[in-house]
Amino acid sequence: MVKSMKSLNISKIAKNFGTLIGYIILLIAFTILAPGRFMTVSNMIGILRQIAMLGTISIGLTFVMITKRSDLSIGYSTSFLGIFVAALMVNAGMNIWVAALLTIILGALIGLINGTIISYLGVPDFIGSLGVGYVVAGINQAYTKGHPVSNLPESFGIFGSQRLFDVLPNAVVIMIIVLLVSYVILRHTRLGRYIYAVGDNEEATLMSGINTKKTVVWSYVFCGIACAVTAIMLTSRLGSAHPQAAEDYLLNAIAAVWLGSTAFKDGEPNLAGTVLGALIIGTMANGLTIMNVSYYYQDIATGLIILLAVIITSIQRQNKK
Amino acid sequence: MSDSKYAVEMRGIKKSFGGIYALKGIDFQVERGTCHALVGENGAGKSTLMKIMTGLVGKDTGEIFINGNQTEIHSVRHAEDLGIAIVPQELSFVSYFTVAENIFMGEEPVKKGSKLVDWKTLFATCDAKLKELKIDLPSRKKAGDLNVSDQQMMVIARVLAKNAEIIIMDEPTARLGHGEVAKLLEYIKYLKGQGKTIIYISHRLEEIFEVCDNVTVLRDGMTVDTLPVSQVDNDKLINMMVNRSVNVVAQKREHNIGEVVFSVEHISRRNVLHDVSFNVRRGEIVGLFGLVGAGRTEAVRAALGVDKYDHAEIKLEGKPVKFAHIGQALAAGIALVPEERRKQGILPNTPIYRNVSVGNLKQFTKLGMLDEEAEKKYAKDATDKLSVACTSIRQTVGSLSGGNQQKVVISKYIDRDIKVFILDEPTRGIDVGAKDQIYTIIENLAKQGMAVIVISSEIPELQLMCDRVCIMSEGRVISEMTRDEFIDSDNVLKNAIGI
Repeated sequence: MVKSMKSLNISKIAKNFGTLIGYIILLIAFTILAPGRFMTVSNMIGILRQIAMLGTISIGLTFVMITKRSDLSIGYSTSFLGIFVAALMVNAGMNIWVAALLTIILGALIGLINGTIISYLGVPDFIGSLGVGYVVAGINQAYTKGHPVSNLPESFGIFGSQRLFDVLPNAVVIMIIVLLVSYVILRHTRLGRYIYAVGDNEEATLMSGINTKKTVVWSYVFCGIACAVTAIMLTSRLGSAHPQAAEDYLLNAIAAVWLGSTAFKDGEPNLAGTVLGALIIGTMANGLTIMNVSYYYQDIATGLIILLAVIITSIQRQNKK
Repeated sequence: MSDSKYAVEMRGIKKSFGGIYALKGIDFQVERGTCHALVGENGAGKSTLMKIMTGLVGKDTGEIFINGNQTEIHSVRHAEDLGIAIVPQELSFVSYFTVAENIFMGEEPVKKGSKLVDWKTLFATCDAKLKELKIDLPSRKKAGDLNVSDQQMMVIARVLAKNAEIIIMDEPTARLGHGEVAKLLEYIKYLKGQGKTIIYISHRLEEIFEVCDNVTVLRDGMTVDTLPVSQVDNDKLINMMVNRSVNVVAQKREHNIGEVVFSVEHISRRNVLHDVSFNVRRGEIVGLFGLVGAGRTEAVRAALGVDKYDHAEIKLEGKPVKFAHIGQALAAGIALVPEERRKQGILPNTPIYRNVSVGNLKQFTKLGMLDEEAEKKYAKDATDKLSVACTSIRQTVGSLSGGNQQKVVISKYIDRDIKVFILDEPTRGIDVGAKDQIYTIIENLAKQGMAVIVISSEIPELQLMCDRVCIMSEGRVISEMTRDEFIDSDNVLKNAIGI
């Protein structure tokens, strides 16, 4: 009995913390393979700065993915929101804070449109959010004609390129704030409970008297806001807005949330896991670059790591049945 | 093939799901070339037995002989190889495929040296096969464009085309009209003449007298008896099916019944509900009896705003109400414990306490934040009241037994301002001991002055609990009985199936 309890705990630890242990092994491996270059304070802060944007957008996507849905518009939306915030400042001469606030409102609005189409009109999430993404990308192209918006006010650098106390990049601080706010919403509010309940059993949640459609719309709104925050950070960091700056984020964010769902919560998307997922993707890119591995091989390596984690989880889940 | 006269012989079959015995030692023998009826109430074990025979689930213990040879049925494929096939109640086919494609699915003829379907040969083979089977169907028509009767014949043809010798028909006439039933029964007689063995499951007893040779009655996972049809009549069959061992009449009732709390008048929905009326008083337990599809669940769901209705007059404590969604019904004080616990009742991967509180979180919110300690205390009290057996309220509900899952669902409403409690098949799939506990819980709800409606297709449990029973069939209330009338009535089942 005691022995079986023990082995149960070990398998539980492996299931919940396997991905984290895997990440630690990854850190150790890079430390050994790139001595003196990888495991330094400045490089670690560099990794954090690299993943601040991916982490933020992935946290937003986590809300949607907890409800067992997806949002394929996030890459297009974030690119467009970056253009939007830049245009407000450069072409309309707005104050950076006002521009940032309006961008967040627009991000929420895009989420609202996504959520309404998917939840109230009953359009499947993939095609609904893809359609919204196309429209947003089209508006983006029509407005920019493919040209970047540059000459941003120098003060806008506060959202991405500057550092708190000259140490921690502001982008990292913003990601941590987004993470904390999201944690409070998901863990300590009714809405957070409803979002998890919808993901567990939507019909039972509805039968308990909860407005599941509204819940789903809210999850898309949070995702839209996270896209807007990501867009502001990205534009600030690059110093100009590019019409396609964020398109890679869609796939990376899906990968981060999936990777994250293999950690901590038994196959469910969760915030800590999502941040870990973003860290794994960012660390792979950083470590391989330090080791002078070419960009093309980096994608192969990242892809294999993602597959490995997801395959292990899938096998575990099949065994559970 | 051995010379056994039995096509199928099953001995001492036991099967449990999650610790609950669905089959407690079934003996079942079917003579070759006969049509053999299998009857019993819902939950008697018919479906489970047929699932074992068709390889969908494995048995725990017992022996199976097919044509005299002892066999273990490993899979659906294996059952097919043994010549066993089922025509299920819910027909499965691809509606945008043609009849021929459906019949020969997976065995389509291909053009030589390629993987392309040889359509010409497919349709020709199909026409020839249908002619041989004496089934008149258009092979090129889309299956979805056929009427229900023809769709069923198509599924039968598919089974026969695979050379099935033992054919299980599960409620084959449930959705057929009178003329179509006669046609099907004729065809079954023809198959019998061809030496096929038919296992016939039906609630309509008169069909059994027309077409079957022998009948086996199941009750509570056990074989009651197997008899030649010539030796039984309607009443005898019903008596064998219905468990009267429960000592219902002796139960002393102390319900303090008050005024009407909730009434649904003339609720109608096209093709589903036809002018259905029922009501329930304070402290009263009212049963809605009928078979699956009689309109009981549908009437309640429509009245509470889950589904739509065309017309209805609904009153709560004398005031007209109309619920746009079930949240409004709940807020007004009407709780519904839904029919399908796993699908509609529980959040399986969520802790018990969050299941209990999910519809009631406003009470624990301060400045937008949840007070989780208060929430846990509330959930602990509610689950303790119903004695939910668990190690901790942090345990996930999916890890509990069926009975305890049901108690969790009921506990969601136990400490709320509820006036009307509606429970849909509250003991389905729950073992006997837990059933008694659920009965006690329901009894206590009434004692506390709640108006209770219980939907069930099990006569004994309604006899045990109810003050009044409405009997429904085909979307109508066909009869309303007092407790005594219902207990005395041997005609309940007949009424329900409309004999």
